[in-house]
Amino acid sequence: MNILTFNDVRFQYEGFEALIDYFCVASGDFQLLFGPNGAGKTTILRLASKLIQPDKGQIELDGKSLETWPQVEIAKRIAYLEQNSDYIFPFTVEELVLMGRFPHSTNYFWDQKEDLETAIWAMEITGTLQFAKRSIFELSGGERRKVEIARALCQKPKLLLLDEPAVFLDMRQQLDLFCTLARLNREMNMAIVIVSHQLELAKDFVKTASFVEEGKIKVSGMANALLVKDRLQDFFKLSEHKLFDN
Amino acid sequence: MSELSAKRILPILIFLGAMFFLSIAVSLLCGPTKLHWSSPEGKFILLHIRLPRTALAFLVGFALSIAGACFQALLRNPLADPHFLGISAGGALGVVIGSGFVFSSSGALTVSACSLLGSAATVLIVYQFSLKKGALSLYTLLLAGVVLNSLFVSTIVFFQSLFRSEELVTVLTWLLGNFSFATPKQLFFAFIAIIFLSGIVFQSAKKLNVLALGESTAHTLGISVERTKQSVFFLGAALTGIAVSLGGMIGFIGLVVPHMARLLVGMDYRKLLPVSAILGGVVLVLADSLSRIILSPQELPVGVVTSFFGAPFFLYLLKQRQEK
Repeated sequence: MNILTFNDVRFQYEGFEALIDYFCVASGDFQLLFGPNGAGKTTILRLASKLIQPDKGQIELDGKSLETWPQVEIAKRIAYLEQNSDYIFPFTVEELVLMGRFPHSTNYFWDQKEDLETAIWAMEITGTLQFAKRSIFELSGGERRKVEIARALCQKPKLLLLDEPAVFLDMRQQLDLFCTLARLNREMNMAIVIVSHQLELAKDFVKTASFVEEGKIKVSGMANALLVKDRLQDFFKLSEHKLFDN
Repeated sequence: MSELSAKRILPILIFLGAMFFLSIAVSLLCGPTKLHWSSPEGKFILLHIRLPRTALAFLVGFALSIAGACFQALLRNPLADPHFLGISAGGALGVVIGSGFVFSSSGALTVSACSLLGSAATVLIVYQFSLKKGALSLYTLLLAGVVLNSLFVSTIVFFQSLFRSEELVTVLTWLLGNFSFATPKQLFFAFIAIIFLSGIVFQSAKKLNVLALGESTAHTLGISVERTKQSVFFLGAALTGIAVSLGGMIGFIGLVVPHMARLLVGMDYRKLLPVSAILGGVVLVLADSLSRIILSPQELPVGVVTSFFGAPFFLYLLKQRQEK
């Protein structure tokens, strides 16, 4: 069964319109959303995590309309990492990761044993346990991303949504990030939807890809069929570019 | 909290406890009259003047620090202060209007009641102004608060220039922070209210942590963001209003004390809130003691003392932030 399904979803905001006829994520998926800036990729992720609500159409989580889900129940199933996270207060890595336990917390004040164990597990998987006591301010961009993924893992989600997680990372860290995601996908069967412009790199990791343009999903298919030079030149209209005239 | 951080917090608890008793001892011993313990007069001053005053200062510092910590998380602004949002200036204006025009007296109860009314009215105005389609815009909240604050302050000064009455002079002394007004009855009600409100804030500590990460992150972590924002706003506002109604506009405590607490125990609101609260009480009790010593037998408004020490500390924090 699909974890998440979009049917005839329309979302309008200040002249921008997204129309998603159909989009679904099943367990074990590793999907890439790509396309020009402002195409509506982030809108799809925001709709999926109920940060925004569609004007029309139906979004279902586990077969039930997303509208009827309480936010805390969604948070137990879907984790969403936004494009930029700016930190105002220098929380420690450990504190931040533990916040991922919020939807599961049974005590409004104290952390339970299970919360601590899950946090340590999440930090081990993402390789962040070594800086558990350090402040987030002291970490590099790549390390911060890993901490955020650890926090997301603490939610024990079935579906992980990531919005351009590889931006600002050097090539080594990008590779590192995709390896971690692939491992989560393979070993835990966690469904992952990622928005990224690192198409060359993503091609080797993601299973399927969708090209998003002007608020619509234009083409979907296997990653290794879509993310090839000729198709990409078409998608991004590179042949119309001045450089190609010469 | 892991075992390790539990160990780290023990010395801090001992330190706070020691500071608590020390500050109370200092406050009880400080004053224009030298106390003779055995004399009935000395006992009277100790029990009926200095003790209530010390308790009042502690409560006000306690409330202001929690309110400051609340607003800093809510507005995601480490420089937020309980006086930012116009709540205290509103209270002050309420006092000026109330005791200057309506009641023709500036007794303790009148002052407190007018202050509470003024603060409550301001909170409702700022709240209504910032509400858009059921969502509280924090940006508008901040700006509307700052603008109202300066409007109220200039109105107060206008009234003062217009009337120059004895009453208003008393009120203005109160404005800068003064603990010699409150009665034991007020103290009792304030104690109940502050403990009750703080209890609710402590219960929301985990939510405040998550809220400090930003609205959308908090949302995806399963918090009902609007409800939490509004409850934090009203809790912080109520604590500020009560504190102002008891002791006037005492600056810098709500801004600086949460940062002192952060230096001690870090960012986690579960530790930050109780430590800020106690530390706020201690700092204000000490500041009040100083205000009685510096120009003895004359008394300085305690707000002058807190600003005098708070402002440099604040600049130090700013400088540190810049270097980061």
